[in-house]
Amino acid sequence: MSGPGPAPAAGPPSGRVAGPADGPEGPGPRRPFPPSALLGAVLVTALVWGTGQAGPVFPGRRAAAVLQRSGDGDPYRSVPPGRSATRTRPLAPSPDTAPDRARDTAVDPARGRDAAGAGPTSFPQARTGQEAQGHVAPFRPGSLTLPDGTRATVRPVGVRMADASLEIPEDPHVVGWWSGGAMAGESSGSVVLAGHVDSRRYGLGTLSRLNGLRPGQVVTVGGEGQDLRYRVSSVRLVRQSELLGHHDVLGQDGAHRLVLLTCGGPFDRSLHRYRDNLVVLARPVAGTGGTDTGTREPAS
Amino acid sequence: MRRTRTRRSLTVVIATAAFSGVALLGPAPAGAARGDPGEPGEVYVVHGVMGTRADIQVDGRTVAAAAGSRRIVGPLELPPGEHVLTLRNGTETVTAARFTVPAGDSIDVVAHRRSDSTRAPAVTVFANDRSPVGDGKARFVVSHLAVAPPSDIRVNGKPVFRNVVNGESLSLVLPARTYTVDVTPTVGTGGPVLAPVRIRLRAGTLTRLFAVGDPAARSVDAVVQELSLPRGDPAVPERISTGDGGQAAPGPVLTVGPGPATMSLSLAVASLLFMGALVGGRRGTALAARVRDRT
Repeated sequence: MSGPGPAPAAGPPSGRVAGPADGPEGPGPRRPFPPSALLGAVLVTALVWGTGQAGPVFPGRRAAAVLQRSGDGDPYRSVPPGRSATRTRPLAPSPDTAPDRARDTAVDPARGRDAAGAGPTSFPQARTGQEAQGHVAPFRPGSLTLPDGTRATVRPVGVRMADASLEIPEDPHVVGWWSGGAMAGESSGSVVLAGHVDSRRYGLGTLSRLNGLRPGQVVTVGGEGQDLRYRVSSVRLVRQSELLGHHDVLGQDGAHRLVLLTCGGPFDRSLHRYRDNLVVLARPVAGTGGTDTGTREPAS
Repeated sequence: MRRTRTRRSLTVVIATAAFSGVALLGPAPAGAARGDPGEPGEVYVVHGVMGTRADIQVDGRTVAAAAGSRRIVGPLELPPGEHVLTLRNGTETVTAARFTVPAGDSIDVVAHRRSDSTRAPAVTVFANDRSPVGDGKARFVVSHLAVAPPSDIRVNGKPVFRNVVNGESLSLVLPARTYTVDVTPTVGTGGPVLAPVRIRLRAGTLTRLFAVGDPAARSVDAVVQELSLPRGDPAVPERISTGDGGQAAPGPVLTVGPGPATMSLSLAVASLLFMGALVGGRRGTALAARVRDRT
């Protein structure tokens, strides 16, 4: 490509798919498009595109299969096959100059016509849509604060392929959030936070304090600039080998809850592990989010 | 007298697209910030000025000509930074506004009418949270963009949140199934802003519902957009093993860790026990024996 530069693309639209680099567009006098020419360009380009397409041109699920970056570099073209009009390039920007030209009103007939040569600041700034005030959007936990003020960092963890165990941060002062479970503030399912009660290397962990929690106490999960408070409803021991059978612990159905999980019960000195999990269940404190959408329990 | 309310039909415009190249090219860690400051952003333009046919232009380039309302155009991959959206009807500008494309992120740029007395078209930008959701779930975002007062957004007949004003959204993560959604003024006894519509949330999608239009013109409708999210790990842990030190186990324990704090604690415990064994007779001896066994 011979670098067309920011040549004014004000010549009559070629109606071709190719960009201006494929042929001289004629740097004619800068003048706005008449709407009819624009429409013509749209139609012609649409036709050309249409014939070049195999299969339907409507967006649909199959679009995912053919998704790619807009390989021709035209940022103003929809990436998946769209309806014809979205594929038109009446101004035929070239890949290398498009970003510059987007900011340069002098070579942008449409904008020049719009704002009489003024810069983009002559347009009002679009409003930013916000989350409803006071509503907590579901968020990935980043911290956990216990009733006594103890705070632990939380980071996402997954399931280890080898033994289907949850990856627990080695440092017992860091708590893992099972990223396959619920986020804080979802409408259903368990937010699972698990951490080592202790470690041969580091000693006692933050969650060793779970043993002292009592129903009614409040713990706070923070993250992404939001906070959500949960009130402890139960503290119990569950055999590690039977954890899956306790659906309220890891299950993703039913009312939203926070599950704090560590080890407890007798310690096996030879295997260096505990027999049980200490499971703390907590429910969202009313008015702090944890929206209840009235989702029904699954029929099964 | 004519009946003031007509049956509203729900027209659903679905733009299904996996998040484009940016997200698909590399197995970027889920939810991680994409680092490259020059990475293009993904932009969808939503035409929510009901009853108005318009050419949709971005930076002066037509991305959709003579588009009817409820049309969704995209994804456009635009360089990060400031851009301009213009909707024009012939020579008349319906609305125009600057918006900022964040590097590597996805946004919806929605043209709609304001809810003030001017009812003038305006543009609101929404960020698309494309982080994965749990297996079998969908992220569902309902946005109030109708010419209507603060409203309750209800799902399956229950208010999820009250007093949502024009320009605000509710972000939810729900089990994938079909829900009924309606928007009703928080105050007053008039009819709903958006009559109940059924919407199916498919697992692994970000599904957006924009309530747009003007009840006075009986033009309120729902524009629905569906974007697929990267897949999370569907595995459920079978075991959660959270302790190998034994310090938290009932009874005193000696640790062998290198940490100075635990070492000194262990030493203190050991010397106490040792003294106990010297002075205390059988009970202390038994304790010390147990400690030896564990070490």
